[in-house]
Amino acid sequence: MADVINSAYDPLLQSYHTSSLTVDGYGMSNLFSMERAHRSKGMLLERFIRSPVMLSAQFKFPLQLLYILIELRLDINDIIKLTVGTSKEVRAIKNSFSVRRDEGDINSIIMLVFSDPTKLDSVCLPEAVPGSELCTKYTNSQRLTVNNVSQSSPPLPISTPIHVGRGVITSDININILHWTGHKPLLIKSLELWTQLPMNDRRHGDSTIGPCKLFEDFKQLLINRETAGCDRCRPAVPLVYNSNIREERGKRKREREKEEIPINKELKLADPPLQYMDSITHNLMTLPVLLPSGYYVDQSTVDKSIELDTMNGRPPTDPFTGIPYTSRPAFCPLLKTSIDEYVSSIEGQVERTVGTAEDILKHKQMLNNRASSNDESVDKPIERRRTLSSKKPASSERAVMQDDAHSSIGKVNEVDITHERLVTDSLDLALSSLFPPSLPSPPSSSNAPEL
Amino acid sequence: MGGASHAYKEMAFLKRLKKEYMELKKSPPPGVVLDDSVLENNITNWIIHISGAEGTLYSGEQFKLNIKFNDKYPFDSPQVTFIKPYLPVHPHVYSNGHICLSILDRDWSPALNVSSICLSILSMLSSCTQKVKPDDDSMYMRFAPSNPKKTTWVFHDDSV
Repeated sequence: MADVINSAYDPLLQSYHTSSLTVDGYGMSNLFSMERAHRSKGMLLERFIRSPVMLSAQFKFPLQLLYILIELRLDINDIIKLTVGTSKEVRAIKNSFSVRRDEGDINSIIMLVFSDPTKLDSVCLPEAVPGSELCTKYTNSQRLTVNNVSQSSPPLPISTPIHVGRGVITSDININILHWTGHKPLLIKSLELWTQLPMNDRRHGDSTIGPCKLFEDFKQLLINRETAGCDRCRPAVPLVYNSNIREERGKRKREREKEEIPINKELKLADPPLQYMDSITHNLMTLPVLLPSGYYVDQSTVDKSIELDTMNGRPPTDPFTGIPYTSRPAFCPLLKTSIDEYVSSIEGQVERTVGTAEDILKHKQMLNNRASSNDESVDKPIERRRTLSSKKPASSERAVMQDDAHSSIGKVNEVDITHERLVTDSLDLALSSLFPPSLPSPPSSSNAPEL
Repeated sequence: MGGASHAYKEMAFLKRLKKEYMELKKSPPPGVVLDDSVLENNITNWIIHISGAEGTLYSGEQFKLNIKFNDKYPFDSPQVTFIKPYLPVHPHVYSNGHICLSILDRDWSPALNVSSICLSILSMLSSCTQKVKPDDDSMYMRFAPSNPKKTTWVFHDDSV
């Protein structure tokens, strides 16, 4: 399979010509320049230029033209009509067509695919696109990247050819823009002429002389330029189209897709360590508490469970044993610390789903803050938690009563636990209303969080 | 607590359901088989095949349970019924499939799960000494709501 390259470059062109005046610095030479900076500017016509506008270019030697890509600036509902032909058949051109832009894309890519080698005007019609004449539009998202000679370079945009036929062998190309609507002056953002060496030259030509050599040399030049990555700016036009590279890429993509197992993908994604999960709701805990039965659950779970107990006319009970609480379930600062560390280490990958709406909002806000100030904020919260955890073990060794845990955090970082304090305080209230005040709540037996 | 959004709540309860699903697939209690052909369409509506334990009155019999979860699960008990032709003749199982079992109503705890429900029902069947319909079966059938959770149950007999 021969390489197909974009021949819209100075070295391969004998001459080019336009009938119209262009804005300074936005001449037709931009379309064919070897400089990417120039190519990215495109060709902009003077404001007063009216249709028709003719563009023509001559190759240095006959090439097999497979397809043409023209990228134009069009506004929504703008229509452009153009014809494409060779000098020999310029009178017989019937392939004028119009493009209407009706999607929210910036560019309009017009693509012509040539299948009949004898007549330029019998162009392969893309059957899949109803109502389109000779052309179709491609949004940016549909454009494929083709050239991966250099991995580091940004992906090169190109439309997928619907059908690459045998093409037409020609040494020149004429584009007549018959009509366009819209208030802005016409801008041709890029022009791509995708060609390969004619079969004859490929088979019998000597690659050391003549067109073959020129073509091969130029192809090499493009490849080298791409691999060297000398230009840091994004290339405006793809350089080399190689079917092998493309197949290779397709294969790799298929392999990648195979590796991903679609079923239970969600489950696999959110798989935090089990000890950070609420034993009842199986969600990541925000405010872990230890039940008398030895299970860790989130504070919100305890609240809901108490609610349920009240509804069923029971005193607040441990959901696992059904034994009424003798004291509040103990808050576990150490576990909380490690959960927070975990969450901040995998930020954005795990959606936190247990806790109050306030928690979520706070969490989101924290994320936003982090995103807005990149410099210091990334490791700061972790650091703060580290200091928290380093001071914790002492308190965890003795049987931590709720209030102990409370005050020890308060000493370390008042701000950090304001919210927790609020929550536990509300629990205090709830419990004190549930337990008769005459009954002094005995200290919880063994609530030291094991970690 | 707090006015958490609906989407967030829903997600939380689905996580628990998925975990239970995985566990029940992996290590189901003896005599309990999850029919997951139904689950693909709706994860909140489960169908479970239960076979009566060996050496009991229901040995060799097959029953089908339908368990429906709402988004308050596990803080609200699921709706558990036997599916009609596959129901045991049992003093606590009504002809419409409703089950008179306290853990499905008043004694529900969020720590209970599908496999503990299945085990409770199995044990309820196993401890039965006489295959009879409930005393008030014909009466209950006359006014029973379609959802057993709407029935005000009187749990009179703890021995069977």
